[in-house]
Amino acid sequence: MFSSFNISASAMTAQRLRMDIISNNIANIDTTRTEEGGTYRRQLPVFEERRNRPFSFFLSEKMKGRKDGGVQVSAVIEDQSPFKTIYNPSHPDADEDGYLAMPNVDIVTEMVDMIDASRAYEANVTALNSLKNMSLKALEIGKG
Amino acid sequence: MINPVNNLNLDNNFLEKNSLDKKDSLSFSEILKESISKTDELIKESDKLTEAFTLGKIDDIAQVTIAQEKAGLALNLTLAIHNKLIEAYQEIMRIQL
Amino acid sequence: MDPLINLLQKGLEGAEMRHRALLDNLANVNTPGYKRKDVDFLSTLKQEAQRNDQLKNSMKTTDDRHIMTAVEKEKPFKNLNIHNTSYRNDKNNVDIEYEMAELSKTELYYLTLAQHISNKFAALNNVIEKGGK
Repeated sequence: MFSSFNISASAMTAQRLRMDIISNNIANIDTTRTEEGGTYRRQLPVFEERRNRPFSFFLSEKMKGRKDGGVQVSAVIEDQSPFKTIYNPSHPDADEDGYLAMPNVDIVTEMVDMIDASRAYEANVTALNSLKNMSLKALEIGKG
Repeated sequence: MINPVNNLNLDNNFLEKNSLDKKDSLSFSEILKESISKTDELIKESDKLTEAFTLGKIDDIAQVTIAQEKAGLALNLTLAIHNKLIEAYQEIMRIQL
Repeated sequence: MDPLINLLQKGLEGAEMRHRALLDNLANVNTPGYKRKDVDFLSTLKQEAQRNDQLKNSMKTTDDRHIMTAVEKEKPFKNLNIHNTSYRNDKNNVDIEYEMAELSKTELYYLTLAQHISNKFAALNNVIEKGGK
């Protein structure tokens, strides 16, 4: 039963990371200069079923007849959709024709994503609490 | 002691069924037997409901929990009657003739 | 021991396994390609209850020449992997609302069974303690 707590915990961690990424996107919505040079590219988390455990974990779980569960963010990738170009010749980062590449971050999309992440996070908190209730109740068996 | 027994409707039904004169004292063993069989009935009923709930055939939690409480109470009552009767018996046996 | 206690215990096990599958679904609500998992423990429980009945009946053979009714072996709970539905572009078929509802149901079922097992043990202890005085 304890490994079930890890499932919910992994979900909360993943959603939290997703929210951080979204916040970063929003913060950099106007960034035209990054460390690598060039305009900021929107970042996305890649969700995957959690498998990255040491072998001993798999062995013990298999012996109990269970598979590990939960989620992990296995990578943070950049959204390859094109930059938004605007015409702004007075900007220092504009190219020779006066066009400026702005980050491919759309505030509305990010907000919707943020709400979705928040909802998923809350759902997993509720799930964790329900598991806790069950465990506490099982503890009370036989206490009269 | 009389009040809880009344709530189970033991001596009311019992007297009518056996048309005993109320002045005669009821046999202790008969009270106990009646109580045990009622308790057994309630326990069987509660077990049936619990099994039905476990198998997903019913989903009324209140009904199942109340049935278990009734059975538990009946059991406690029967135990209490049993113990009191034994106490009374021992008390009587101690009377020096 | 009361066969009902065994049944209740199996019910608790099944409910816990189902709860775990639902937790996994909730954790992977955003995972592309993930298909929801479930555990069908009620059907196994029903078979177990039938098996209990069979055991009770099979003990009634009064002669060695009578044939014992076949009793099915204990089966593990069925793990389900629901593949054929998809309602999002990323092929994920987890619906948060449905999972939350099923989670609540499973939790209530578990809590009720735990309470009942507790009561059964309490009753047994009661009889042992008080009956012995």
